[in-house]
Amino acid sequence: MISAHSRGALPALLVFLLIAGCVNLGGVRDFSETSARTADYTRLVDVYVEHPGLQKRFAPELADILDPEQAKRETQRAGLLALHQAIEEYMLALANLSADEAVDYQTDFEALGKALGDAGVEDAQRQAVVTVGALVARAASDGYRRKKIREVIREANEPLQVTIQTLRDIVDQIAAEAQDLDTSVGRFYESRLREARERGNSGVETILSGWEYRERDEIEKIARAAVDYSGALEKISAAHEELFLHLDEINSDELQREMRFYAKEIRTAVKTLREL
Amino acid sequence: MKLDKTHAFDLADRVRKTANALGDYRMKNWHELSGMQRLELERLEWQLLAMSTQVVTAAVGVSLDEADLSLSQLKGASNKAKKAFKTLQDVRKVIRVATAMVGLVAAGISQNPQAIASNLGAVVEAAAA
Repeated sequence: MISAHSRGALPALLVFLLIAGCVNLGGVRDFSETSARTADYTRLVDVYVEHPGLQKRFAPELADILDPEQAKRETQRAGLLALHQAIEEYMLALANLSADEAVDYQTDFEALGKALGDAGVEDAQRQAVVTVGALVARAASDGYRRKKIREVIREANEPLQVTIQTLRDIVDQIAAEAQDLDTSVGRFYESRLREARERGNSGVETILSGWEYRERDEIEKIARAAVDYSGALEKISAAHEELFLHLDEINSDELQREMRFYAKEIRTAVKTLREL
Repeated sequence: MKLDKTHAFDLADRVRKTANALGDYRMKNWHELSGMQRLELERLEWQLLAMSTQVVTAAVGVSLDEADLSLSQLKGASNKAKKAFKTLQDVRKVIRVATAMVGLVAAGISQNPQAIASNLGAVVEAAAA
């Protein structure tokens, strides 16, 4: 039963709860969801594993080196996917925890209010339970959520940075392998062309150019995707470091804006990946 | 001496650059080279590229080994976040149980056996959810 005195204090309590309760973590959620989707992109793992086979197309005589190499890379596939998965899983957990839905109990309390109404509880008291109950639950949960998010980010930052850097190092190698292979493939076709001309067989020029275009286009797409992906990983790393350094302002508007900006940059960086 | 990943990646870069330099030399000096010399230089270029691939594979192996500890620490943080999220969901569960209990009490007051049965079911479901 809510007394007249308590009813008088309700507006002040509501105002207090509204100010103290609502934590805005929309930017953190946007960043972590975008990062999770980016970490989910694993096409470059296939590219890495298949690279020796791609090289073999131009140097089949090196099969005794390249075939075992591809087999070794195949055994590394699970380890590489584990890097992606660990980042994705962490970012998804962070996104869930920063989602407002996690602490919005309005619907649940409305159901409770209806049950109270069915049980014959007066409208005013029922309304007070719904409004105050939902706010108290949200304020308490938000406090807990803020505390836990800080703990989680603090704990995750160092291993996350190492994991991202490991993945970046590998992605940078994929880019470098593709760029250098592209150059060698260019020379491969240029050599065949010069040889054909020397033999007076310039008719093959169109055929060779067509093959070169197709082969190099594929390799160049790989190189571009790897460079862009490395850039996206760099931004994920920088954004998380920013969160870590500003844990005390985790729900500030400025930090949320910054996180949204990072999310937008990550989305832009990975646009070209879909070409591959 | 154990292979360090930074040195291994650096070595792979150098081997690839050497392959490239060899290829450049072959193309620039095409007319001064005999057919056999060109073939030999091209063979060496591809062989160096294949060797750089071997070095990259080894370096990635070392990187993955080194990242093992960080991976398990990151999984620990993910689990902590999942647990916190579950706790927040448990609050919801408590409210649902309370709602179902209110329904049960109301049904008891109204002496409606059918309503009592269905609300009892709702309490059990809410508590088990």
